[in-house]
Amino acid sequence: MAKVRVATTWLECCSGCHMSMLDLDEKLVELASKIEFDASPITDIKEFHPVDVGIVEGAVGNEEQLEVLKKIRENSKILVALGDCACFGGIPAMRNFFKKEEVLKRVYVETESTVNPEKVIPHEDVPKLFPSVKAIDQFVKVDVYVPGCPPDPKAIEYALRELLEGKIPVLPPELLSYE
Amino acid sequence: MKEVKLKINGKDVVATEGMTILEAARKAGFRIPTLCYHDGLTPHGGCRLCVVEVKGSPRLLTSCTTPVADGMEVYTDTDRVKEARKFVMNLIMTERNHFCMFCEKSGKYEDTDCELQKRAYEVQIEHFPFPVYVDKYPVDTSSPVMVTDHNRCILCGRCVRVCSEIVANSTLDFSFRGSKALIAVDTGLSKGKSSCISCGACMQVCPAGAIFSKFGGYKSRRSLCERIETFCPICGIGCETTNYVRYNNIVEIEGNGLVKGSLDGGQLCEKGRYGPLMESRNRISTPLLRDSKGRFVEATYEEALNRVVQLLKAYSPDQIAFRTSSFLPAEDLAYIKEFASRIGVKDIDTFDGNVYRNLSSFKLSKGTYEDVLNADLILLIGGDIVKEHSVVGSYIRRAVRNRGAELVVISSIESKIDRWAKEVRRVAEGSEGSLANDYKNKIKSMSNSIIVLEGASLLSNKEAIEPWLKLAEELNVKVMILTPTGNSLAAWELGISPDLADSAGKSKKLLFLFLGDIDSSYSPASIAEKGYETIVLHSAYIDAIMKLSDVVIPGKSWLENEGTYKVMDGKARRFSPILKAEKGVKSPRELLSDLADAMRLGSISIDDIVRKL
Ligand code: SF4
Ligand code: SF4
Ligand code: SF4
Ligand code: SF4
Ligand code: FES
Repeated sequence: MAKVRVATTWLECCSGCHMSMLDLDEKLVELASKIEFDASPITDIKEFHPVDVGIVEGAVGNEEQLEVLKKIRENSKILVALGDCACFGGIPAMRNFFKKEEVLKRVYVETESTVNPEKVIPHEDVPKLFPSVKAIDQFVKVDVYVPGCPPDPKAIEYALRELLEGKIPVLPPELLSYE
Repeated sequence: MKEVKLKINGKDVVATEGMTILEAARKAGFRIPTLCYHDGLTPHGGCRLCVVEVKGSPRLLTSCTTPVADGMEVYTDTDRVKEARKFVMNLIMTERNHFCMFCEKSGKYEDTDCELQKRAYEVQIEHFPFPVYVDKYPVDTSSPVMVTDHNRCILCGRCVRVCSEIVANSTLDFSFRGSKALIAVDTGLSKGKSSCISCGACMQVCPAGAIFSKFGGYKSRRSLCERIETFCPICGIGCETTNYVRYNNIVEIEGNGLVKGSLDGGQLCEKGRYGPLMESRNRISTPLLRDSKGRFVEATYEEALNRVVQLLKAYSPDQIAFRTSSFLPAEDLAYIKEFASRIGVKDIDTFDGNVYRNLSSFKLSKGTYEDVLNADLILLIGGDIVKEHSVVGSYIRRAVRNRGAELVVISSIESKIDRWAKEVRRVAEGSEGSLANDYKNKIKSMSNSIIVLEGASLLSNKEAIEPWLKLAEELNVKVMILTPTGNSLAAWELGISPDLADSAGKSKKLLFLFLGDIDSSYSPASIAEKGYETIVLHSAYIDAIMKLSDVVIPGKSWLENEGTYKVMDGKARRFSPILKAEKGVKSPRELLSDLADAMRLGSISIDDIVRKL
């Protein structure tokens, strides 16, 4: 049987969901016999190619992230939102309670570890920040949601196994997590 | 009551008239999810999570407010119902900030402390289908004990109902409308500046992370805690508590349940709910002995015991006095008494011993909590009931609010109960008695009066209290005595009171002091006044009396000390320790048992005495 091709990416996030995926430990070895990873931070392949399943960690907060999201959507038959940031907005969405200007000033000028006497806020060479952070389904169609901050490896395993069996997974309450 | 026959999910169910669909369904074993509903409170029908299908009704009905009717056919779990519930949950979760990962109450399905989150898991919310509001709502941290984060509030109104129906303080209400709706505190104040009495009932019933404790917040999820059910012995009411403890630290104390129909509604007061969490005093960590130059030196427990033995032998029994707090368990009190009598010491007393001595010559008709609820005139004499016996305050407010009872407050200090009174008489402390006769005719003109006597300083002051007791006796009015600590009554019944005639006039030189932790009658200054030559102190915490002591021995705190209490209602109860004491730290009975061994006094048994309580 041909292996299921999977691409993954991370947007505005902490990479914790990918870590949780690696926490599948020895089950990864078993899954690896059925899955082939294409573009992914794990394989370090940067170009997206057509795959069966695309997995997205992280929310969308700037234009570069939106572009990446669109690319993985175009290339995936099924798109999975992995983790609270992708499903809801998560921790990055905390900045939505402040104005964009306040956020930029805080980050580039005010933080305790910043040395920026000219108080320059960079606007070249960095992707343009959106006024607010949003879950990925605000931009593209999402087929599967696996929330959690990060999702439990058990939840990721459940979702992957269902997908391998050709089903669209809906997580039971015990595997759901918003934290 | 009339029977009502209906069908729930095809099963024949017999309910009684007046029951709601929710009650009938639960009784028949069907589970319907709820949010704004709370067992101890009037149904409100606000959240709509509990909707069910009823044959013949085009709309879904809220089961928590719809009464059962004969022949009704109810379906609790159809696809239509499930879809409606998910829709409702989606609306609630997206209305304000329910990004759970930075919320105090958040957890996984099995162990979340958030009812709202649990319901969301159950309907399998896995993303927000609606755009999320990002309006910022206020966070009120002004209360000394709790934080109110309106961003997490779902406007279920449980807090409003508990504050009005159970605590009867009516501090909270709804304000504004639609997306601007906010739980209001006294129509627009912050909690810290309001009529709020910090009882924490609203915090206990909040199903979301909108009200949480300043002391337990972010410390631990409940599922990780040990759960200890016992009661609060701080005042004479003895409210039942559930204590959550982790790594020998208290994370949270709750009232037991908010049980429907229970008189107090499962309330606690500020002292009971937050007091042990606010503890800031330092512990006495090691025995101390005063050396020849008057300085404290650290000693072993054995050295301290030896010094005490020497001292007890150096003075004659009539030069020795034992003083103890009635906040200690009956086992300790009984042991102290037995030990004292073994060595011939007669002068043994509690700090609030005068309270019952003052009462003992009167024939009083004891008022119960029900009597307060049913009174039409309540004379509240003494200190600040909201600070000292807060839960009885709620009975008084209920009588005033629900039945129009007349409240007269006679006290030297201001209290948050005052705003409920028809008449407040501010008098100098100690002169409360001078007003008793003013109320003679008033009492006679009312059919159901009760005199509530509150506060250690009032109760132990003969002059202040006797006129009221005389009046009560003469008119046969009910009297409620709010005893200062959880064991004042037991101490009196155990006979811990000096034979005053015997000890009068003889000056005491050695004082053996057993301190409970919090005893409103204990005053270091009045002990200092007596000018004892030598003081032996057994106590948990460092306080002013330590400086005057010659031998200091660390003791268990009340939280660590198991034992029997007899609270105001006259029932003996066993207190289960909430915390573990450090190794080697003793209760008074353990210390005295070691002393009895060292002095070869033979075994002292108190079991029979305590059993009689
Ligand atoms: S209140 Fe409950 S549902 Fe809302 S953020 Fe906190 S844990 Fe989540
Ligand atoms: S703490 Fe008690 S008095 Fe204060 S608002 Fe809450 S329920 Fe009302
Ligand atoms: S503060 Fe809590 S109890 Fe009060 S309305 Fe909001 S969610 Fe309900
Ligand atoms: S009213 Fe008394 S017994 Fe009840 S919680 Fe407060 S101090 Fe404890
Ligand atoms: S529980 Fe019935 S409407 Fe909220």
